[in-house]
Amino acid sequence: MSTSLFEGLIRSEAAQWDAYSPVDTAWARGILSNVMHSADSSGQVLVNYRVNDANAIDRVLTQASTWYAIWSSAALPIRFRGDGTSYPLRVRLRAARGTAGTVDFAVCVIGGRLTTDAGYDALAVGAPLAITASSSSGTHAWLTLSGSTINLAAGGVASTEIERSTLAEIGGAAMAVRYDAAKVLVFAKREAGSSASTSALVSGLHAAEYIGA
Amino acid sequence: MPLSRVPQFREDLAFASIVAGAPVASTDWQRAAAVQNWVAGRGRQVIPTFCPDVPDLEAPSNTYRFALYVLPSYPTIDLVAMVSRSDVVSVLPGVVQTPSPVALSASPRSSYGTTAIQVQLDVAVDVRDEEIHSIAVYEIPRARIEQTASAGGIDTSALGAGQPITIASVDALRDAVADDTFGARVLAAHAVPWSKDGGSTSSTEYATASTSATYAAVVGGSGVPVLARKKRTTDTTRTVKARCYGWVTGATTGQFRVTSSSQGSSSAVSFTNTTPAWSSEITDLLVDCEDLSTATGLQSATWDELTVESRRSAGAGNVYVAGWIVYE
Repeated sequence: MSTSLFEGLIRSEAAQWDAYSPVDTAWARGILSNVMHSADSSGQVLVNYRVNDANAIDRVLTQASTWYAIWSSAALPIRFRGDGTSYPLRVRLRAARGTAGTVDFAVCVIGGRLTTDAGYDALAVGAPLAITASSSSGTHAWLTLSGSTINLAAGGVASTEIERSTLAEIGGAAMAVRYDAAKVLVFAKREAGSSASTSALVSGLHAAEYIGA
Repeated sequence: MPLSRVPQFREDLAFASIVAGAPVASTDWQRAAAVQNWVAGRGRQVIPTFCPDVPDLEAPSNTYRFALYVLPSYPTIDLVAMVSRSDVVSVLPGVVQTPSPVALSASPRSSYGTTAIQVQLDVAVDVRDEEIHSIAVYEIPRARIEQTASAGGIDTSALGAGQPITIASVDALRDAVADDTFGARVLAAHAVPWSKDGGSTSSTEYATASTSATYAAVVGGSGVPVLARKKRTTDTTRTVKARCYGWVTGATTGQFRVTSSSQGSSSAVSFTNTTPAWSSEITDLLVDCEDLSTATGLQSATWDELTVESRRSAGAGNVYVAGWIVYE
């Protein structure tokens, strides 16, 4: 869903820029496409880590078939596209199960104003709010998730908008700024038949904003 | 200083209506200017969230200090650090920890600029051993930004209806887009405590230690996903930068190296400082950039992953690395 004409910046020759010349439409299309590409590619890397297996986040999944929220990011500023939908998040998850058994993992995104409980709603909806993977291996690996991106529910602005106090300018008066934020959550559950001592191990997570194809 | 409003939401343009032989509507110019203000003022994730590659931090009464290298956007005023943690005794299994803000002396800033801020983040562990689940730093978006070339703010009123749109009118917009530091990504960053007494003395407890002349991965540096912004239309790669936070003992030279799996690109920097400090900059690391025509942005089915390593290249002492960052 790139919104530029050329999916990249196009160069203009400075010597041709006479300050009093009119701007023809060809020039205009180039400049405007560059602006849109700059916006398209301004998505940020919200989460990115990969730790040694021994230092993975480790949670025992006591109850079978019950999703446990095991990791949450802070409410991080996010971007919305021109059509009102959020920039999708490109996601990877590196994980394993702790003892014999099978563990299901899920990664989802919720509005920054919501609590972790909202993650259960995202899990109930599934894609594109949440994507899942399963592991019965004790060896850590980047899992094959059911999708490669997640994004906020349509119309999710009410759950994302945060208002904070900031300064109008350096040394200036206090003022409020509104922006949108989201939390990335990781859930895990052990499948029925797995031991009550089965644990979920998470050793890597990547979530980055992407304008989408 | 005149200020431009930073929209909360970006807009799109209908290129189908911007055609040869017809004038470009002032509303299109103004919309594009608003998008540029949005790009410049929305704030960036200056430290992507990471889980420190350490076992539990031990109590009692230790103040663990993490070094973070923050590259602010020019117009940024406020930075927010968020940390989630839990003690390892009383927290029920499966209970997620909510990140909380940590005060940063660097925020609010006292002047604009892109000069790096060397943040020292302290985490006090008083009673019980604790594990750190996440650390992140982001910029609070601006409500308005300055109409200067550095800040990237565009005066939308200069592009209003009834005015001739000359090159002088749109030059600020053209220049702002050519400066692609606006919206630049920090691709990955990592830190572990380099001190456990609040910075008075360095600690080697969590940093990666090396006496070997062979490169070995440092903390959090074994296969980290990376995908940079695309600049030009035909680009498939982007040159990015990196630094490490390290030190050596004695008359030793340490080396820090970052390698890209997809490009096979590798670049190293040496350091000889005996107290912890940020290294000089690697400037020529080649990594994959986004392909905006694919569903994931990947250039191929295989992710580009970074391997971050250190070694002793001269002398007989130890080489320590307690943090690193890779950025555009």
